[in-house]
Amino acid sequence: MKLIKYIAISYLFCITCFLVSCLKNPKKALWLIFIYILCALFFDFFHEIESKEKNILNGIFTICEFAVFAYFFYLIIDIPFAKKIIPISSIVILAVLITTFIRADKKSFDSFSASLESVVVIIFCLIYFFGQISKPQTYFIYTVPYFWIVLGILIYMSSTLFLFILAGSLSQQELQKYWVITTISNIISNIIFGIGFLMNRFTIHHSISDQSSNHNDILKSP
Amino acid sequence: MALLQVLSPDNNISMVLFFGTIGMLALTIGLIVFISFHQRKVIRYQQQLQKLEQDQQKTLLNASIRLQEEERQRIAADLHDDAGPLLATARLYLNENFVNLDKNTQLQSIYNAKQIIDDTIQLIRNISHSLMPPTLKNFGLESAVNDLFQKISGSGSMNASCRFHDYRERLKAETELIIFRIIQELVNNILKHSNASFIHLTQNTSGNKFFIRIHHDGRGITQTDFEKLNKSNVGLGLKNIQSRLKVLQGKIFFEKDMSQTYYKVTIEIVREEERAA
Repeated sequence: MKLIKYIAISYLFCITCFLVSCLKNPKKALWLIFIYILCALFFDFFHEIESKEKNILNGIFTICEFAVFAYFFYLIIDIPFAKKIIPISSIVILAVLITTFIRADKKSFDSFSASLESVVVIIFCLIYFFGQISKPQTYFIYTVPYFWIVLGILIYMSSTLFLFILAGSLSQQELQKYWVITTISNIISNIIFGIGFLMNRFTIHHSISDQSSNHNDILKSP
Repeated sequence: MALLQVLSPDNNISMVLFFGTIGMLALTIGLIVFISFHQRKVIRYQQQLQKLEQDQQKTLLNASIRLQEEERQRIAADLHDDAGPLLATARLYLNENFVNLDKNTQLQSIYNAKQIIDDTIQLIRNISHSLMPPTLKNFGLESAVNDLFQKISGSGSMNASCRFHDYRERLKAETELIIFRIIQELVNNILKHSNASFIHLTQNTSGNKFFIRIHHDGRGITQTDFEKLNKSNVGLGLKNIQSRLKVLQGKIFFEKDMSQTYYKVTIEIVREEERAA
């Protein structure tokens, strides 16, 4: 019960940070994450109160979560090659997830879908970071709001990856016992999302190309 | 409680789960730390490069200003040392007419004064032409360079020739002036420092690029020497060439010819319509 209290506080912190920082300067990608947080809050609430259809809820949530994250990464990654690969691979993965959900036994946790989603999202996170470090810029990466959002997603996915992989080998009671890992990583990722939303308010960026164009004005005529 | 059960040695799945989760978290944190440190290093390096570029531009600007001042001093000296005394002498001759009323002497004074004024006019014309050659403005780069090289050949100091292979369409007036100044500076350097017996200039066009090549058989510099001189406090003329080329987005190459007997300077300029704004 204590964890439910903490997760509720983390959701509240996250939503407050968004409302304070992002309403005046709305960015599409941050709105997407806000919608995801509201959906996650909704699913967590029903997860707590509804014990019979938990696996169905988990399956639907996995599909929705993947769709949101795939679109989020499509918006924020600016590597031209990745911009083409992400939509194609996301559609394929979504099709696999939906097919698996329809065919899966609703009495147990769908380990395959959850692990597949985690692996693919982790790959998207790594592509984002690769894109950031290969871009010439004069601002630090942690001043960008998207860095924190992606960090939150990465921490959540990497913490829960092994749990989702082994979920098929665990009984319902054992899975319930280890679900605390998901809860704790959810709390951590919500806090990090909140920091990301706050960064949107307090950051000014400039690129190295803007700075160097000022220096070319020094010598205009011989 | 959950943690104690996870750590129970009897539970293999628990161990895998525990170490797997910890391992993934450690990898994630390690990755973020690596990215942060790597980026700080890259940003510091980029800032250093920016500073070097700024310093280089400052040096070029200072060189440009110093050269302008030197040219002004030279013009001032020419006017003060040559034109001034000549005009003063002409005035003396004319003043004599107020004193000496003898007609023959008066005529002689006026004639002398006229000669001196003619010399002064020629001197001022030479100063003006060296500042802005009228041939360049009226007839273009090819004529101005031909003129310059004919004057050098005419002086007898060396054999100077030029050939424009593909200059049917004139460049913009400002561009022609900058190129002419660069050629003037290079030729002056060759005359002053190289001890060459001949100098030959060729012009070509290749695609969207305009090439000028100057060959001479004296002592020259290579690209390495040019870069060293540019970074040092000397080599004012070369710095001036560099700053003029920057305006045209052009390049210059100093090298020894394949036969190792001539020095070659190649100037490469992108034609105006292809140059980025």
